[in-house]
Amino acid sequence: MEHPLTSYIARRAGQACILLVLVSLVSYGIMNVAPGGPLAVYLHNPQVTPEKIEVLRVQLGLDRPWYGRYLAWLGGIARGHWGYSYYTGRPVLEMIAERLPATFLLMLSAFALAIALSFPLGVFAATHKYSWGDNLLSLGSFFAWAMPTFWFGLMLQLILAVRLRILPVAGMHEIGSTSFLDLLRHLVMPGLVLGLGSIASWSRYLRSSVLEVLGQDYVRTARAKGMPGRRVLNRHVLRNSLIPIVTLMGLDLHVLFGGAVITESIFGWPGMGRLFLSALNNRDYPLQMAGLLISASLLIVGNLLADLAYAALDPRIRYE
Amino acid sequence: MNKGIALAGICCLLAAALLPSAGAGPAPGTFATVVSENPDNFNPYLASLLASSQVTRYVFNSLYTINYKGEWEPALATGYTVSRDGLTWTFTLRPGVRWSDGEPLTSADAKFTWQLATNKDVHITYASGFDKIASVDTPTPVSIVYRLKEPYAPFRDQIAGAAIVPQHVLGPLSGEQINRAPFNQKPVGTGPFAVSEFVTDDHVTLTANPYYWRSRPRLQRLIVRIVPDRNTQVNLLRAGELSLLASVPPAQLEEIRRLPTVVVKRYLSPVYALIQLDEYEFLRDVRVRQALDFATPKASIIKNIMKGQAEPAVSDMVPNGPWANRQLKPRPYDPARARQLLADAGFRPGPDGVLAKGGRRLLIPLWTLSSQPLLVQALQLIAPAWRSIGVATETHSASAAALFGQNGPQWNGRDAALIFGWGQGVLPQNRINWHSAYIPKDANAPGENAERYSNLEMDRLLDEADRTVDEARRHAIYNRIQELEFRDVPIIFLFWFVSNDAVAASVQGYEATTFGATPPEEWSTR
Repeated sequence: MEHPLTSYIARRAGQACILLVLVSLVSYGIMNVAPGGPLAVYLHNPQVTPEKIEVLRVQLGLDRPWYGRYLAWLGGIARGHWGYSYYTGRPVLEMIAERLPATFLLMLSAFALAIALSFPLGVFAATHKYSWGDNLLSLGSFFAWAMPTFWFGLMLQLILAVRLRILPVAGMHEIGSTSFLDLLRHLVMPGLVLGLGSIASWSRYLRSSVLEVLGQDYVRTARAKGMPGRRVLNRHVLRNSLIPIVTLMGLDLHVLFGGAVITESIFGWPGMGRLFLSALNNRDYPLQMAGLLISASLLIVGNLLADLAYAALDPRIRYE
Repeated sequence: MNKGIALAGICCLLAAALLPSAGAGPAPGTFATVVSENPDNFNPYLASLLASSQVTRYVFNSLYTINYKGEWEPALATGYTVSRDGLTWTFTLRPGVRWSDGEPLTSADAKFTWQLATNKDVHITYASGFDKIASVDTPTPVSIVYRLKEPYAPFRDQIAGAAIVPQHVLGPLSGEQINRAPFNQKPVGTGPFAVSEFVTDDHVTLTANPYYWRSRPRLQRLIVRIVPDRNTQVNLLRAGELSLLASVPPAQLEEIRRLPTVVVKRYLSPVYALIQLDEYEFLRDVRVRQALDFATPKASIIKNIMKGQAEPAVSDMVPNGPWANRQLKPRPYDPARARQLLADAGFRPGPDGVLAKGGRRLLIPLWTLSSQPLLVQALQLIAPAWRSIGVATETHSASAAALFGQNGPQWNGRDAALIFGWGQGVLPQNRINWHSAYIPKDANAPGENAERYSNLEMDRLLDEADRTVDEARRHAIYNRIQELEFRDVPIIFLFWFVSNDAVAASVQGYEATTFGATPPEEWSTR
């Protein structure tokens, strides 16, 4: 007999495929209803003659109805052809692949920073409920959460890069430099700006989740049998508090790929967010659809991973 | 214990990262500038974004070029002759010119450029004038003969001013291969610099072309950084990481002027702001359009919104250029005359104070681009001024795709006024803007005459201007064209933008004017 987990994953994968086709169909449709089109950029360029635009329309296949283009695109994807960008003429997958290292580096740094700080802060706030430290953390996280990313980013730039000159303003490397230290110097501000929101929200979730678990009978039992407080916290409380956090992290997985468009723009970071924003602005359909499809797939995979992690964290959860 | 080591490690890394770097700012011999968008393509015939031409200007040359004083001067050619009938143009190429890969430039390259620009399988975006060429002959490696289908006066501007691309690199490729060629990211040119590295959305590094035909560039490297955020660009300048920040936003100008390490260079940009009047209903009456021009507080916009970083506009020819009609003066802000014109046109105030005619209110919605804060502010000044003469108006701001797209205000068959920036550069060719043959039928149709202006005399003059090779005669025609633009108000000319380039004090040899900058091979950094 098949393992229940395997058949569960197989079933979810089947559902995911159908979902992805639906997602792509709806997004392709919406994109075509949106005002403008891939030629809008040329239409408003005094150097591009009207006759040329007509030729381009036929060359890019834009004279066909959108569902015809969608079916051709879907057929291409099924055969592994992701197509070429309308603007650069380069293979879409190549354009995405060259962004992956910068995107992962920034997003994983922010992710790591968020985990490293939100866990101790969340647990501290819960175990010191309503102390001045807890109140200060609450205030701090609401402030961090409410603060606009672009403002915080520009303020950091002004202070650390323009006034004190201890960090570079923007970019990923000093031109020509490949040293790790140089990379790290460029990573500090964008990583901090990006991680701050997650630190604020995760620590709040963890705080309420830990508080809820602290009131459970099994925690009182563990304490009653004389288990040291630290062990109660690590073995019983923290593990049971993780479920909502794991859901959040699972849902954030696709963000690792999709990048962070505001932070990337402020710090001139060559990540995925800027690539997709310009694809969207230029109505570069092949590039836009590829990004959307990969992002949607990761959202689905992240969801699945979160569901699987529940079972690891809570033996009462079973998959059928 | 382990935690302690980890913590100490993190602290060390942070401390190291925060240490000031030794050489802040571009190294000597390196010139750093910045663009907002990622360049899409370095083949000048395939590129559609301004950011691409901000790189290719260093890489390619044309037969003739406009220098920063506005004069035509020979570049890859040394001279040319035109036959009496204006149909045959013969250019002599400069001998000894080499491409950045060392291959010699020949007349075959110039001929191939024509073949490329007219190749139906290539995604060509720039090809003005190439379709007027019937054939191209290359009797010798240094002479090239263009034979035209009909006399075509803009030929010199458009063809002699177009970049020459290398036949030995692109010639063997099919059209489809040219669309996807590595050349599009790493081009081979005859210009002072060659692209040595392109990291998308990060930077383009150009290095001095050792084969360059004019004097060897004084700079070793030229770096074009790609940073979308305007505030970050200003911060880069303030931190000393840029040699040049072109076109500083007016709001930040005062602050940048105060920086001791920066010099600001001011010049008139060949781009004007305008209100396009879509002639569907009441706007088809020239008196209504003239009235709106009188009711638009242009001087106040220049003073209060542009902070003086703009100049009055009266036609589409840049006022310090050779084609401007200097007899024309902008209509002053005069609400009384505006009201009188509308009264003459038969409009009477209704019960709500709004003018009406034949039972219909004079409603003209105002639109602009949400991405252009200055134009949005201008819109907010224009709307109340129009209301004060009895015109009903609404204000909208939208993205470019929404404003100019099929669902936008231009195609619903109703009067509308659109504020945006435009310009044909320093050249006079404005046919696609005013000729009635270029009235587009929908958002996807060819043509720039979206205001739907139609005037037989204008059509005739535009046709004649293209056929007239005689310079004095051409000037007279374009003078009359500008008189018609002013008299008929197909659009309201708001102002010419002024550009302010912030240049690091360490830079020498950089000057910028309406017509362009000093040759990049003359730029240097101390």
